[in-house]
Amino acid sequence: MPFKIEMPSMKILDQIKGHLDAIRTGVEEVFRANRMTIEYPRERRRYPDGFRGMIVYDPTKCISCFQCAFICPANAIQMKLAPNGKYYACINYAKCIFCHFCVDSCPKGAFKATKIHDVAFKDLKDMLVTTDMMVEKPKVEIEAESVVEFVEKDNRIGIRREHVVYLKADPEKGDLVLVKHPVEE
Amino acid sequence: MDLLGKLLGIFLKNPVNIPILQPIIDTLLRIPIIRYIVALILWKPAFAVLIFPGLVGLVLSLLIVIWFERKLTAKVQWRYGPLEVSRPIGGLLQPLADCVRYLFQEVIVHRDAHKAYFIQLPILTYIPALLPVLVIPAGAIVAIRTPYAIPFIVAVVSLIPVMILGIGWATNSRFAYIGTVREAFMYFAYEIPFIVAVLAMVLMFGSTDPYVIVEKQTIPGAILNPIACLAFFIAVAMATSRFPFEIPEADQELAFGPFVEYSGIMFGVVMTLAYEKLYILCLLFSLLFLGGWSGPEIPALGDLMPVMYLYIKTIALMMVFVFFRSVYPRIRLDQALKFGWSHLLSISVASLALGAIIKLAGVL
Repeated sequence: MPFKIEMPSMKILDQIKGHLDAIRTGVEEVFRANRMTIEYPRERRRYPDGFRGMIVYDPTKCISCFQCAFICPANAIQMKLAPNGKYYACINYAKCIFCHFCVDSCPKGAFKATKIHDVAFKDLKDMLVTTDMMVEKPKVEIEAESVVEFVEKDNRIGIRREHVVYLKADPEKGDLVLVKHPVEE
Repeated sequence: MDLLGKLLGIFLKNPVNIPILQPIIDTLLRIPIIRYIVALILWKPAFAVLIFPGLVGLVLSLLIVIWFERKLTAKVQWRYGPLEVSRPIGGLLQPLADCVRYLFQEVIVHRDAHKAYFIQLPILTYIPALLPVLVIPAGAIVAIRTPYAIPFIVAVVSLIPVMILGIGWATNSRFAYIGTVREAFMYFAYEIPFIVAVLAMVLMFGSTDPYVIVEKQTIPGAILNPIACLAFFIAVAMATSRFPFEIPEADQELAFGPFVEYSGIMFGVVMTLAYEKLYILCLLFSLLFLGGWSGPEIPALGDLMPVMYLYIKTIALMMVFVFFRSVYPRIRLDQALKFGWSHLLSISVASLALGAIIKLAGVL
């Protein structure tokens, strides 16, 4: 059955009030510190605990139960035969969707999550990360000068910046050492 | 040489007087060839056309206002806006960078376009958009002094939509067609209240000479006749397709309406048309309602002082108009037409009545 939606009846004073309200809100937003943009890579977001980033792997804990390979929805985990006769996991990051089902399903806790998410591979073959490459955390070069966090204040969302300085402790190794605040990665 | 000497004599008979810069000007006038250029620029009519309210003022206002519009809208929407071009000054050079990019892009003329008109009309539109600069005075600086300046400005500015209709016809595409028809509808919705509002002010001051009008505004016109001010303000917002009346261009649905097929520098030309019209109409607004070039006296600036006041008022007004982009949605064509033909027209007629009452009461 067709029906007609009526215009809300607004009196002229209500309309003027509405216009003034709109303009007031606009002016308020002009003068409020409200910018939400995170200028990556000049600054980084502080990610929450349990962030699903790249995965590190401890083969000594692994019992070759294949649970991770079975549960992987993207079929990204390949089990490869090692010289000691056991099968160890390799992750193909071309397929991985970072769901971390493997981390959750591992009965011995051989997988561990990190907060590293911004990774670049030079070609497709490199994206198959083998067991020995997963033992150590991948090296991170951080250019950011500050860490940004979203905070809620007075029922409004805002951001908080913390200035941090990263220094290269050992230039030969290329390790980065954080001076002020931990970035938790 | 004799001719050049004669020209120099003409130029130096009517120069712009700036006490604070006088030593520099005197030095420059002693250098052989540069003296002719400096004398030409400082000749009052040439100064009006080249510096203010002419070329330099227009380009500078385009640069500032387009940047300001993007920056302000971004701030209201919790973003940064243009920033990476010239980071230390907040991306102020972004419009300039856009202009350079437009210059190096290919101008595509599509097969269905009426080629000659498609290329010509955006450039021809500059004639009505820039002609008012000739008669707009800023203190002693004016290119052509005429008592009929206000009707001339209104008449010439009214020609711009006709040119835009021509652009839409020459483009010959369906989006351009819809945009053109909307432009035509809007033209009739705002033009009559606009002219009636100007008429109210002219009737009130009893003159169409900007000098007389500015002289009579010991109280600004906006306070004398606030209804005319309101009608003129809304009509300007409609005429320059500012929000909430950005109906003919409507980027989201029509992709710039009549200008949909333009690319490269031709797009840059048609895109700035609305801003040029806004510049001219804001100049007119400051002359009629904000006391024109009057302001506190600064003797050191000499003839530059009225220029400064008029420019500051104009830029501030343009900033107010572009601010509405960040708070208003776009209203529908039928709503805009209903508003224009009923409310806006009645407001402007009321302003005419108020102007007549003030004139008869003999306040001015």
